Amino acid sequence: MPASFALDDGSVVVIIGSGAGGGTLSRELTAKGIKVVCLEAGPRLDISDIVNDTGEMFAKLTWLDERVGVGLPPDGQPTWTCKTVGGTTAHWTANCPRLRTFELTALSTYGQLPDCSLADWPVSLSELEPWYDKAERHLGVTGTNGLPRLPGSANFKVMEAGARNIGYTDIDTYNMAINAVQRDGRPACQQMGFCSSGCAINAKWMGLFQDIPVAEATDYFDLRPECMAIEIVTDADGKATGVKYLDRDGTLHEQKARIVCVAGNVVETARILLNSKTERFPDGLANRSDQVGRNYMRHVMTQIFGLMPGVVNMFKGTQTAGVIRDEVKHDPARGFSGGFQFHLLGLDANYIANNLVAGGWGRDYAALVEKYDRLAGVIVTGEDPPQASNRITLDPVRRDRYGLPVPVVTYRNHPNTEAMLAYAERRGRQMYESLGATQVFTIQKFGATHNMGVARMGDDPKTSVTNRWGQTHEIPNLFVSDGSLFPTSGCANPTLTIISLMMRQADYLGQQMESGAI
Amino acid sequence: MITITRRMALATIAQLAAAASLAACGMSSEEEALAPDLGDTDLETLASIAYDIMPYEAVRPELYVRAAEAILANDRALAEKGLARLREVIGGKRWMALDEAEQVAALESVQGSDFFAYMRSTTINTLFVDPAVWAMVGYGGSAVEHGGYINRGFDEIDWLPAGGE
Repeated sequence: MPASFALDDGSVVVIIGSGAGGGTLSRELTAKGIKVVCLEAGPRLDISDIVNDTGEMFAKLTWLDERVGVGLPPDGQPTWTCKTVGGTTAHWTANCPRLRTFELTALSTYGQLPDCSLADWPVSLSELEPWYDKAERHLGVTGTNGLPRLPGSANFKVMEAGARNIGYTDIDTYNMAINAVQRDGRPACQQMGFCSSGCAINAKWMGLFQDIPVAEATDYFDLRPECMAIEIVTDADGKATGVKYLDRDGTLHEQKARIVCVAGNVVETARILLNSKTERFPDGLANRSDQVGRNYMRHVMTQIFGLMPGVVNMFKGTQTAGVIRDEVKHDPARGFSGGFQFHLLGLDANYIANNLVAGGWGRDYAALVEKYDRLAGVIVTGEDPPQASNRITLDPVRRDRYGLPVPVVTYRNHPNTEAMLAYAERRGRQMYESLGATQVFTIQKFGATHNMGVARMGDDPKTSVTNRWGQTHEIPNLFVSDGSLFPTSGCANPTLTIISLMMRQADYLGQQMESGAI
Repeated sequence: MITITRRMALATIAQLAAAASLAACGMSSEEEALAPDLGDTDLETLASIAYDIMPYEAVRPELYVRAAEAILANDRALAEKGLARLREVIGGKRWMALDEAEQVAALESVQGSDFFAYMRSTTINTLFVDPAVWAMVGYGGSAVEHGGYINRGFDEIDWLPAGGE
């Protein structure tokens, strides 16, 4: 039964956010019999709210409150994150690669890059592996634990054939948290497309229908949708004591807490830490190192579309079920550090009409868009080196509808990124041209879906925000519980790693609470 | 031939825009016949521009009018500012009387403006939510009610060279 805890019940753990980070933590902690109040800014949808309409679902799922983009990110929508129960597990495309050792030891492997803050993770792959195992079992990831992979779509076949033509060999339909066969009370994928609109048949793993109901069945879970956390409250001893939030009517409440965990998907995590200033913490919470908000990473991304000699119909089929892993390595001979993946991408006609050629219009452009059915697509996802100057800050003047300072997302490509993009785009072009593509298009300017960094974990409090468990160095009962923790980005889609880290954090939290340390 | 179909599309757009304008100010077409000709309306000019941005003879002309209506409803000030600038560019002439090359040249001179970007995105976002436009470009729209594509050709491709698996 869903629980209801009193505002003055200071024995609860308050989790801000219910997505990959907060949802996982909620499920894991409540399973241990720990009382959780989860504050989620967005509404709770039902399966019947999920339809095959990208525009309608964008409006239902997306975090649309004002955000400023400076540099590469589009102003107004620098990120594409969700505001709904289950967070970005509603719109994720469910690709589940693991990080590799060279990525977890980026500083040691690559050496420091100019103007970068590369670091080794304070957690090794062998430490992470049991948690990756657990997360893959939990999500039912294809190609793991004996689960079959999804069948390949026509778009996949084009990618695979082109990739083999140019010498790539590590190609398959990826490790997906999408059922290839009926499993865990959910059906097999029907190759509808629309993965990023939320899965209308529940074949894709979504926290809303998985972790949230499981947590509610424990009697220890008090989920409060449409409740926007605005400030973490601390006492004179510098401990977190609760969270102030606005409910759907705009009424201010304060929930007392034993422990506070912040899982706001990077932008909101940085904002609430920076915005919770006190006399004792004049630069925001856990920010004595001046690292909160810094080293914001979004992956090196470029979409590549080939205009092929025949019909592809890239909208038919699981949107991103396909990967080329050959470039997932550190090989400085390519002219850059770190690796990247190509993975499959099928997008709808409205997106293509808006974006295929930036600002495109007129007779020729209209005729090009009419060839939509002949487009094949992939997206490059590459390691994004952390730079202190890429960061989340608070606008000094602008306030959003909650009265909060508007977050400013500043991001510029590093020269390493430019070199990786040039290489990856050249390879992508070769891939499609080897099959007779007459034109190849690249799209780089879109809101970031992979948001990382801004509260990095590390062993040294002078250069990191949290310890290796996500516990802030300055405030022992304040945790960061999302992709903000990543010291570096690797080139793996982040959700599997976030879920693994949160299973691990829940374990640590349980032990610390039991021993009375916090 | 293209010029003729374009002219027909624009003539339909002008008629539809005129009817929409009359309806908006509560006039009948008989009353309008007695009113003085004040030249192009903003609505028909914007609809004509929408057409030049994404010209498809196969698209129902009312979609371009709908785009123009959306632009006026959502940001009339930006639309009026953009139209004023275009009128400067074409110097005293009537927009609807210009030929295609003249209209396109005028639009090219403002294509970097906020007005043009807004015209472009509104036009595309009006056209490309319409199932008939989707069908024209080969996009399938909602698939859940058809059981997705698992049994409807998600992996069909007939032109890939043989090889591999």
